[in-house]
Parts: sequence; structure tokens; C-alpha cells
Amino acid sequence: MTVMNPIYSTMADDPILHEIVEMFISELPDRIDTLLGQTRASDWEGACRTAHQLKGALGSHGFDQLTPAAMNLERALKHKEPLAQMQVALEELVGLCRRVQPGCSPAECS
Amino acid sequence: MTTDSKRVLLVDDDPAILNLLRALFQNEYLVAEARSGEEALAMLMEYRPHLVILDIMMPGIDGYETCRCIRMSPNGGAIQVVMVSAKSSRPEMDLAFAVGADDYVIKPFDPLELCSRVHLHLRLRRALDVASEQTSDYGSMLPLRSYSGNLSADELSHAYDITVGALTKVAEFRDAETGDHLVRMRAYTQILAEELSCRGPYCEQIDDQFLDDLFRASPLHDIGKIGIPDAILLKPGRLTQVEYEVIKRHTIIGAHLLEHVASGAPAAGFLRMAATIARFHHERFDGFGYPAGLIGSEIPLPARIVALADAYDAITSIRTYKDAVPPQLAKVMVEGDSGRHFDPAVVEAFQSRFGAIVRLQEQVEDRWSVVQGAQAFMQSELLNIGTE
Repeated sequence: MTVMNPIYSTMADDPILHEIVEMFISELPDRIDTLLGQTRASDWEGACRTAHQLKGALGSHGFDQLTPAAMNLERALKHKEPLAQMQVALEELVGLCRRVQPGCSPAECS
Repeated sequence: MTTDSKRVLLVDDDPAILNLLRALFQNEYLVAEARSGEEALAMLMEYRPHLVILDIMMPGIDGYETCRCIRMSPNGGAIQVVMVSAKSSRPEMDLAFAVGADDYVIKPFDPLELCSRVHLHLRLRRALDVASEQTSDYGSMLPLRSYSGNLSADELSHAYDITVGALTKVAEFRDAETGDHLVRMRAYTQILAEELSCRGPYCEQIDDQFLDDLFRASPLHDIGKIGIPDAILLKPGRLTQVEYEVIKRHTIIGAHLLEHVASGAPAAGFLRMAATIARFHHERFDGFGYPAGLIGSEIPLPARIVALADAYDAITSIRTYKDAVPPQLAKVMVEGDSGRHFDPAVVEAFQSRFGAIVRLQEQVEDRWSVVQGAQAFMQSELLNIGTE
């Protein structure tokens, strides 16, 4: 399946860290499933914890452009914003995470 | 390949972050990992990290409390603590520094920046250690030079014992009820330690040096009461919660005092043990004690032994607010607290030597005249040493 506008880690070509980044990417779908499961079950506290972890982990693995979306979701959950706003923040973050791809951007690799 | 023997402890509940941190540091330092604050504290004594990278938001005790406990642990002041957290507000950072963090890095972090900071902190630690060793060497030479014409090393050691004994009495004399508590407590402690040195799980740990240090160290366990205001220490009625919190600080005050004295003493193994006992003799085996809330074997062994001796003597002594409990009933109470307040192995030693403890108890009575006589004797000895 081709992913539209894939997002690559800025650390994907790091000689020491690229394997760690690949591992993080392979586990990312599980984290998203956890987050979706928590919101479906109205476990706002659990979802907030997962969003908080994602906020720290995404950027630290070279996905800085996803950090604001994770931050928005954490804030919405923490302040118990209206459900519609939480849903928007959740969809934005999940959408971005699903664009994450292993390897480095063709532009940078070439 | 490891190029530095410095030990770094990584603490984070997110396995991905632990993987990343390990990849960053394992080639340069010895690295260990903990998934929670509790796990980190349990590893502290054995692993003895030079630096801890500590997350804040974790299940169980959070990074703030973990940092606080690290600072209260033996030698915890010498550990560099770098908080790495996705919490980024000013009050959160202020709190981290208030509980003793040396540095604060916000997640997401730049790996290069984090590595640079860790290197910097370890270099700083090394420099501080070198400076401290030099100060200590210089300090320990001073009394030897000053007194070299008059006192031998043995005499100096003797003078040290007497000074420390007098200091202990200063603390004890502020509390009129304690009487011969220290005499009995020291003797109970020694009986328990001797029993533990013969059989049970700690016989390997307890050698002659341990017994000797313990004998000299145990009476100093409450020395920190010097720093507690009379209005609270001598208050006849029930303490308020705030006053109780102040009383609890005698553990930390005592430990700081003794660590300071130990740093300037030529041969002060017993003073270091005394500092450990002062700090931890109110910990409980089940983790509900203070000041650090250590659990089981996290509590240093000398403090576990003194905790039982101290409590047994308190139970069997008269206080203004209670009668003395008879030895047999006190024994049942101690046994009932095995695994809760007390280390079960120490309770077993107590059961084995209960007869000896009761005999000793009968020999030592609370008599002010004896205590005052001992004080006068020590003062005269101090004067003699000063003029010899």
C-alpha cells in the first residue's frame, strides 16, 4: 500500500540510532491502537498518558513535525475539552502517525 | 566498547525511550535500566550510579519523588540527576530543581544535546570528587600535625570516641525520659549483631570490623535531635502533624552532621556507619517508614538492627504518656511486626537471644546518678586529654 506524503525520521540515516528508530516505527501502530482503544473506552486518563508519551517519543526519534499534534491531543485530554475537539486532535495525530515510514526521505537519501 | 567506568542509570516507563537512551550511552558508559521509580530506588544501593537520567511521569512514584529519595539515600548527594521529561512548564521545572535535580532536559530531546549534557555532568562530578579528596586529605593532615607532639593515633581515636560520646549525651540530656536508653540500646544492638554474625543470611556481612563499628555507631542514632527545637522535642502532649514532620527531620539532620564529621576524621568507618544508622533507623521493612520509605534489603543492615533494638527499648520503658510493657508482651509485639516494621532475620536473632536481652535489661536501670556520673567522667577525661 502506498502512503500519501510519507513522513520520515530525521535520524533515519544516523549510523548508531537508525535501528532504534526502525524499532520505534514498527511499534508505532500498537501505540496508536492503544490510544484509540483508550479513547473508545473513555479512558481519558490513560489516553492522556499515552499522548504524553508520544509527545516525548516521536520528537526524540526524529519526528519533530508530529510533536505539536501529540501536544494538542494531550492538552485536549488533560483539560477535558469538548468531545468534538478531542476527536479532531486525535484524528490529526493518528493520521500523521499512519504516514510515518521507515527509511529516509528520497530527497535526503539521494 | 566501554571506554569509561562511570555508571549511568536510565529510568523511564517508555521502552522506546529506554532503547534510545541505551543506544546513546552504552558505548561510553556502563548502563543499567529501570522501568519505574521504585525499581530505580531498589537498584540504587547495589548499582551505585554516578548519574541518573530520570523521567518524571511514571506509574507508581513519579520522578520528583524518586529524585527526592535518591537525594536522601546514602551518598545520594554525589549522584548527578538529569531529569528528562515531556513536562515543560516552568512550575514543573522549578519543582524538579527543588527536589534536587541537577539538570532538566525537555522531551522530545535532541540526542546530541542530551549526550553533551551527560558528558558535562560526569566531568563535573569527577572534578568535584577530585576537589573533595584533596580537601579531605588536607583536612585529615591538620589535626595530626597540630597534635603530633602530644597524642598518638590511638589517643586521637580515643579522644574522638569521647568527644562523640559527649556529643551523644548532649542530645540525650535534652530528653529527661531517656535515661539509660543508650546504654541498653547499644547492648541490645550488639547482642543482635553478634547472633546474626553466627547464623542466618547476614553472617557473611558481619565481621569483627562491622561489630566494632556498630558498637561505636549505634548510640549516635538520635544525634539529630540536637537540631529539633525544645518546644517540639520536649512537648508533653500529642504532637501536631507539622510538629511530627519536624521531629522526623532528626534523621536527616543527624546524618548530615555525622557525614560532615566523618569527612574530616582520619579513620572514621564507624562515623560513616553512624550516619547511615542516623538516617535510616526509622525506616520500616515494609517500606512505610521514613525518611526515604526504603523497603526490605534497601535499608542498610546496621539500621535494620538498630531499629529493632531501639523500638524494643522504647516499648519496655516508661514514658510520660505510657507504662512500660513487660518483656514477654514486648516480645510478642516485636514478633507480630516481623516483616512489617522489622527484618524477619533480625526478629529471629532477637528470639534466639531473648534470654540474654532480658538479663541485660534487668542489670541496667534508669538512674540519673549513673548517667550524670558518666557525663562528669567524660568531661574530666576530655579535660585531661586537652592538657596532656
